[in-house]
Amino acid sequence: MLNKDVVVLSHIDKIYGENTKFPTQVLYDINLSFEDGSFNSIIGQSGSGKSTLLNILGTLDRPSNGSIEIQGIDTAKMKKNALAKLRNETIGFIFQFHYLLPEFTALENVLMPYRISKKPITKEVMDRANDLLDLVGLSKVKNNLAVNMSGGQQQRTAIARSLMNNPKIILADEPTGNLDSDTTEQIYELLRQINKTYKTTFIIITHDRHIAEKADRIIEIKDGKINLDLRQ
Amino acid sequence: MKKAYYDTFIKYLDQENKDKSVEYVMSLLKSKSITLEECYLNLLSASLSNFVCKEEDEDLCIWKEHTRTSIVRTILEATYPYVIERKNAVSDKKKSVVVVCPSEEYHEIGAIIVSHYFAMNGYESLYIGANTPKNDIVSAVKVIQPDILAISVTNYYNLVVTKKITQEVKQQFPHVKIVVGGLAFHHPDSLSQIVYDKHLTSLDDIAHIEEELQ
Amino acid sequence: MKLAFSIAKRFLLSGKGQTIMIVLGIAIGVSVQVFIGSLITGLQKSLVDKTIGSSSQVTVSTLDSTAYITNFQDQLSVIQASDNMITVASPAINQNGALVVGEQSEPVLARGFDFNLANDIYHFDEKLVSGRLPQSANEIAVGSNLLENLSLALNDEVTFQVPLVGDTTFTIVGVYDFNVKTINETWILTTLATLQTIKSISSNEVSSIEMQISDVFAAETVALNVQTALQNDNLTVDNWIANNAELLSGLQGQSTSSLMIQVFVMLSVILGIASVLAITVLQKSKQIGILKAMGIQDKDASLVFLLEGFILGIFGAALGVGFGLGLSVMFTTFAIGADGNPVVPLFIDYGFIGLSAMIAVAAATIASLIPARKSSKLSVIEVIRNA
Ligand code: B12
Ligand SMILES: Nc1ncnc2c1ncn2[C@@H]1O[C@H](COP(=O)(O)OP(=O)(O)O)[C@@H](O)[C@H]1O
Ligand SMILES: [Mg+2]
Repeated sequence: MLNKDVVVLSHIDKIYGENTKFPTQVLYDINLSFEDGSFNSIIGQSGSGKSTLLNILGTLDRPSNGSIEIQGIDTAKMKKNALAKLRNETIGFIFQFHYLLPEFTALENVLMPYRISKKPITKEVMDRANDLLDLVGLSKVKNNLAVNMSGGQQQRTAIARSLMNNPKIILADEPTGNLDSDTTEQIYELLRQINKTYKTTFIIITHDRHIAEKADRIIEIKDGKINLDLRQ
Repeated sequence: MKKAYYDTFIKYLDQENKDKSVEYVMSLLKSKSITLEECYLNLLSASLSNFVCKEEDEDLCIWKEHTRTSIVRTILEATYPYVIERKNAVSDKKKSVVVVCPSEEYHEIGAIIVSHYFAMNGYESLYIGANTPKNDIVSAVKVIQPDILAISVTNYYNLVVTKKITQEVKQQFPHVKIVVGGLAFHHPDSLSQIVYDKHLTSLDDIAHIEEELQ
Repeated sequence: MKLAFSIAKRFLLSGKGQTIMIVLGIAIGVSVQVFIGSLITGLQKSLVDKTIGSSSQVTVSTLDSTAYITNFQDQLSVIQASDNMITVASPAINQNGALVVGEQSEPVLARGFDFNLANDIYHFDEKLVSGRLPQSANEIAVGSNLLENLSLALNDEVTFQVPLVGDTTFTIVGVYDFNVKTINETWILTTLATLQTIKSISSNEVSSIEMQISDVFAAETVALNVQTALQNDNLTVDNWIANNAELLSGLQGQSTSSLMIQVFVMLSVILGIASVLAITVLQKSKQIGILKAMGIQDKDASLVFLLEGFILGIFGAALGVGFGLGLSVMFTTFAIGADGNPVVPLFIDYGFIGLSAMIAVAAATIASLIPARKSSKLSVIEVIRNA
């Protein structure tokens, strides 16, 4: 393993309903590693196993076989609470359906990962949250409830939130899936800018070729296997 | 080839002077000051590949690049009579080749040059276009039954569809040799994941490709 | 805790309608609890008050009915010291006889009291209809029915006949009404000295010592304590419980049924909260999924719902106590009898109300354990998949 790799997946299998009459294998012996600071895209037909792979990468789900090392630490032996802490500190998630907490404002949503870490909210932390909202161009609507924002604004809030704890890795599952093409372009530019500025590793599932073709690396998943692993 | 030819050509291109650019290259060819190969590689290709955008006028880049491409393309088409001349000069008639860019691939200057090169080497060469969908490529191969299918890919995202194309062609027409080239194959790992017979980095190799494909 | 609390608060505020419904649900439960509790205790108190409120609850008398308690002043102090539940101890002398007016004669029980003490038991001052209480020798107060039966009037003189002892002439100085016919027809009230003279006993002798106590249901223990303190085998200590078994079992029945009602009210409150909160977990499962993806610990995720239950409990209980008290006040103000007193007197016991409120809060919190567990078990994947 190269030291430069932030995530290493080895021999990952995923079988849903393992102990039922009809187990379905979704991932087959996946071996992948991602370089620190790289911008990666994952493409593939719907149902090919992309989300399953990303969820395993993000420790939201466990593989049936194989191991995931995040920053050199094997996650297989970690308990639920330790994994939660790891997610909180090292991984930012961006989902297709934004998944903001509708009861909270944009600013509060952005602060949430920090509050979950239970560290005291200092002025610096507030400044960071505000800066991030500035970065995604939402300073004006930061006190709006999440439900009172447009799809693009919600997604940008989710991006700001994913950055709050300065994670090493950002995992995005079709982040522009239901946005118009202008907004998609803006979001892409934003992600790329963050990737350049903070050296954050991005792993993005996308159906949008305009995003995929600009990534440093394109991984195509087909029927639960890596069909192509392309670099520029 | 004299470096001055290139410099003059670039000067006209920088002025977006289409007439002068076309006249200049055609006169060089006519006077046999340059070979057809030199025209394609050292003038046309080089003028595009070396196109750099000066930081301060980034806004101008896009249309300047498009204009230049358009001029280069005009010259490229205008050289075809010389291609025919070269083709007829080849004594032993060689096999047939189809040159194509896969769907969503709009970079076609390279593909056209490649198709001209094949013709110059005595091939029955047919360029069927940029942005050609997989099924159209397969049906072209089926109808034309070429000996070689040459695929030009610049944007590496298009390797995804290229893999499908080559797989399908190889499966249906195993005797058709597949030759690939273009910027997309720049990374060494990319090639190994695709079915093909030959990857060319230098166009001069087209002259010996027949022996190599045996 | 702070994190979970602020999330719980936001969840509750964001579904105001639902939150209000749950709070109202708890409040109604608590108010029923408070109201029924106050009503039943009120009923019991008034029943006890009516039955034994104006009578002796613990009585010291001699085993031998012809003997007397001697040195009663000393005994009084011994008795007072024996148990601090004794609110009053009062000496009494009884003498059977007949009241004769011309041709007419009625059997009566003459009762001699130290009115200053006895008043605390019998509340004579409230029951006096006319005249005053006897003060000096041979003055009596008679019941209103007896007055009527013998066609007497205030200040009339009557003869009190005791067989084998002789006749004494009494002057009627007061008329009382106990609202109990048998008492009104038979009791004539007089001073201790009057009866001591008639009975020819010394001025430190009485027939019995009567007592009232602060907790009427403790009569048996008080009686035992008095007996022990007296250290006198010739004296016997009776209590009202021994003589009123029926009343007692009636009261106990009421207590049990009231307890049953309250238990079931609370049970339905708990079930209500549990099911509503279980639905909230479903409603909020997306949010919990997100929070878990962001790394919230399972225990914090469940704490959110535990706190929701607690907060709902607090507000529900507070509102419920308010409702319950309001209902009680309304009941005592509007449901009043002809005499201007409430039909059923309510008894507001703040200890009991506090307990009900605390039980409600505890119940709400316990009810939220189920949804809290559910929330802790919730898997992020399920939530994100079923978006
Ligand atoms: C002209 C140009 C265009 C023109 C193309 C016009 C046309 N009709 O072809 C237009 C404006 C349309 C264009 C569009 C885009 N372009 Co452009 N474009 C160029 C540019 C400036 C020149 C390309 C060119 O024609 N070169 C000359 C030819 C002759 O060279 P060549 O293609 O490499 O071919 C040679 C060899 O590779 C070989 N060869 C090629 N094919 C084959 C096949 C075989 C079988 C063989 C044997 C050999 C062979 O032979 C040729 C001669 O030596 C390059 C810059 C550069 N440095 O290359 C960018 C460049 C190729 N474009 C690029 C990009 C990103 C785009 C866009 C995505 C831009 C955008 N933001 O929209 C779009 C994509 C369009 C699409 N979906 O395909 C990137 C590609 C990066 C990548 N690796 O994917 C480049 C490299 C610019 C850059 N540095 O970012 N582009
Ligand atoms: N919990 C599950 N139980 C059974 N099958 C599942 C479950 N989750 C996903 N799948 C199946 O696994 C396959 C891959 O799903 P997914 O990873 O979501 O694909 P993608 O994101 O590429 O569209 C699909 O066929 C899907 O139906
Ligand atoms: Mg998916």
